[in-house]
Amino acid sequence: MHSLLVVAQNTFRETLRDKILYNLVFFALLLIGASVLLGTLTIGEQARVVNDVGLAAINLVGVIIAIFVGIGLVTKEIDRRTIYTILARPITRTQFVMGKYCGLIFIGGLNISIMFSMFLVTVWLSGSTIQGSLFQAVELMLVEVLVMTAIAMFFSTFSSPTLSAIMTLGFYVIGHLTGDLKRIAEKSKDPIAEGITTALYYICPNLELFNIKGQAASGIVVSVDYQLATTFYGLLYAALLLVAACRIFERRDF
Amino acid sequence: MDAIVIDKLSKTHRPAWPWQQAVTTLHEVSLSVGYGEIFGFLGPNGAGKTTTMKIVLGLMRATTGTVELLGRPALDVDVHKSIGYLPESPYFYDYLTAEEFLWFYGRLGQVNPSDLQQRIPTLLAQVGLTEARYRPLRKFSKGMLQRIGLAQALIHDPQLVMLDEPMSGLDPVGRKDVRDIILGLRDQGKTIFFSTHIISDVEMICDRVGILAKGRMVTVGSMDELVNRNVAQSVEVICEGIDGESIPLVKEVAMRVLQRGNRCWMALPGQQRLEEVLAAVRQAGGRLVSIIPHKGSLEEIFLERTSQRT
Amino acid sequence: MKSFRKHMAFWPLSLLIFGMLLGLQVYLKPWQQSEKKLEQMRYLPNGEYLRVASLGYRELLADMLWIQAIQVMGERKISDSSGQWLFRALDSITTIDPHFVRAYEAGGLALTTLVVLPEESNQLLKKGILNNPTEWKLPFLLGINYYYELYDDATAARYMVHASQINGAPAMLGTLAANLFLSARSPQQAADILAAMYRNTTDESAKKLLEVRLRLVLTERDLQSLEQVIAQYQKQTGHFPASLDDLVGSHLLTSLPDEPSGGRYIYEARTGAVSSSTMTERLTLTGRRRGK
Repeated sequence: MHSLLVVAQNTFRETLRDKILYNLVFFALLLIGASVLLGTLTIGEQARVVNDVGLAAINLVGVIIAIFVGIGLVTKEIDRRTIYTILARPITRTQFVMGKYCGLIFIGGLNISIMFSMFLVTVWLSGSTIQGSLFQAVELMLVEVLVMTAIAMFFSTFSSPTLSAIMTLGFYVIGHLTGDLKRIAEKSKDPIAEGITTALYYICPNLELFNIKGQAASGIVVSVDYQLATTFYGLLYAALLLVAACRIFERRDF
Repeated sequence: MDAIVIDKLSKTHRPAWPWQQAVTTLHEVSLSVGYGEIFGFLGPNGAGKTTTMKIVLGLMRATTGTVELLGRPALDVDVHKSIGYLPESPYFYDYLTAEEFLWFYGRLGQVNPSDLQQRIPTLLAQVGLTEARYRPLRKFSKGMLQRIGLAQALIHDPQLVMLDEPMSGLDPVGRKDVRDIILGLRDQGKTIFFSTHIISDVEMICDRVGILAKGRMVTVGSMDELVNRNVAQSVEVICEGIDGESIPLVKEVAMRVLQRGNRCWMALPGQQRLEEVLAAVRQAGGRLVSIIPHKGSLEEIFLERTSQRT
Repeated sequence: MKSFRKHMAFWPLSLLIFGMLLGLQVYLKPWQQSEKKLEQMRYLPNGEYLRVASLGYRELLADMLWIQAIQVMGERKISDSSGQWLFRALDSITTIDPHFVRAYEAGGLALTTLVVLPEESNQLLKKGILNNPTEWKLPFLLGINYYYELYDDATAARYMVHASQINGAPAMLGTLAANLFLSARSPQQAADILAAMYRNTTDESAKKLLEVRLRLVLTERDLQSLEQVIAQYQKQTGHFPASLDDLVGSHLLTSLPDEPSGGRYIYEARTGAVSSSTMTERLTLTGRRRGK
């Protein structure tokens, strides 16, 4: 546990020094721009627009950072051979992978928290009420970031950075489409298409579950059951990927 | 019990695709290193030195064979608490300063913070980087990186230090510094295992040497043993006033004879028949100018042994 | 021994997690039905924003929204509010990708068959025509809408003419347009269309059929104008004329029209009805309209 925390801490520091959190400046500008500019364009809908833009930007920035930093961190260690000196220490490979993951989700969580705080301030300043549904939406975004980070880590334990990025992005897209694909295939009555989409539906992460931005921006609250079940689903999925990632990493030669 | 016991280590790299051929880079490599020794692991580039070291450190898995470190199986990562490792041409986290870097590796090596606080300045002084304590590694030269790498390998005061090509990329002063550090470690009772393809490094400081070529151990032994046992020593004799070619005994014994005017240079394969040859020379009216005995160098063994396999 | 245990634990652990994931997916399924899709569409930003936000992947974004929309369109019947959302989605799709002809077509149909939203359907189709002037199906569908849903035969006929003039449109559209004009009581326009078609056709057998049709339409035109005059006569005098010649005598008509097919017009003085000796049935559209 000790070694894991040391790695996590170093990962956190690495990401900070890579100036990843500069995205927050971009995010702040976007928020202010959206609320001031779009607010005046669409009279009466300002609250909606600020909510929409804010939530979408938090989600997008969170996921992009999860994917690219997640892939970079492990592959960079291997490419630059820093991993040699790390693994020559009294640390198991599982501890190393988990340490990297923890450091990364800490950065992701911090990033989302800061963005969300900025967002809430903007909402408050623009004079609209802060709805509880916004917290729900952000909580599920956090879960999505956990899953995406785990996917990125999983791929980067055995393939090149470019391939990992492509695969992770592919998972992201498929993860948001499986539900639709399955429903379409069900209507097509083609047993092969149905089989494939059903398999995809259950194997790929169903990321659309975490997407409640639309309702949340309009202040519609989802049930606690849904919130809990979805969160649990995300955590389990991330756990599955991490177990596999550790297993692959354990058997790898460097 | 020895500090490192490598027993019949083989490594076959599994091909990525079924139609590719498996490559075997190590063939039943066995060697052992005693406590307090400086062991030089010699071999041409691509012989498998780095692979062996990676297997010893658990960075790679052996196909067959076992490794024991400090009396425990090498697969147990706890044994790494007492092992320091410097990889070949190391790269480090360049966003860290020298101090943070050593702190990180020290914490990974389970050194308490209070010990680290004392140890970091000492170690930086030892490798000559006191000035660079607060400088990020990004701004380090190659030689400085090698030095900080060495410091990293020593931060947790390990029993056994494994260094992969520790002198590559260093200027003569740097090489001497590294040599001094290695000798200093031996004085503290540490065991040092280092690989190199530069023979002079080994000749100067090693107690024992192993030579690896094409994934096979060619020779292991102490420096004295190796040099005396394995190398045919030659003797150069220079005389005046004779024609070397005209003396039958010289023609029979000498490996080479060169005649320049009335001065004759000859190379004899050993000291066994030196007296006979000298007598024959005197008999022919020649005068002895000089006798130079040539002690075989590690380089000759190295070249001889590694080329046998090609 | 330690590593052996670790390896053995991997598969059972993975399977356990996977099983739990499946269970959760099934548990979460009720929240994922198509009504939810519709609700999501309700929160869809304006198409103009989406168009900008799609960063050049306009067609892809439109396709993805389209995939969502067709799931809704696959239902048998949807509520009026769902229909409104569907329209919003279709409007967004076609704003993002104005050349998505299929979305206009299927959307235009769905908005009048799954729900009754003819105005929205028309709005969508008109947008489609504006952006895709070479697609005959869009004015065709719009014509159908005007005829079936809004009972505006004249407008329907005008869109049918529009459709028939686009390359690739089937020839029967012209005839259909003519019939719509007849139904809208504008036989002269119907005759004009047929005459134009007659002039543009080179195929002999088609020409013959058109000629027959044109004669019938002209007959119908004459019959309709005679009926108008008879109605006017009756209004002025309070009774039907005794014969068609009375119409000429009362200066309502300068002369009796000739029957185009060489027959004659028969007048029934008792009922005031006119008919042609060559035409057994009057030309009208017989279509069942909604609500009739």
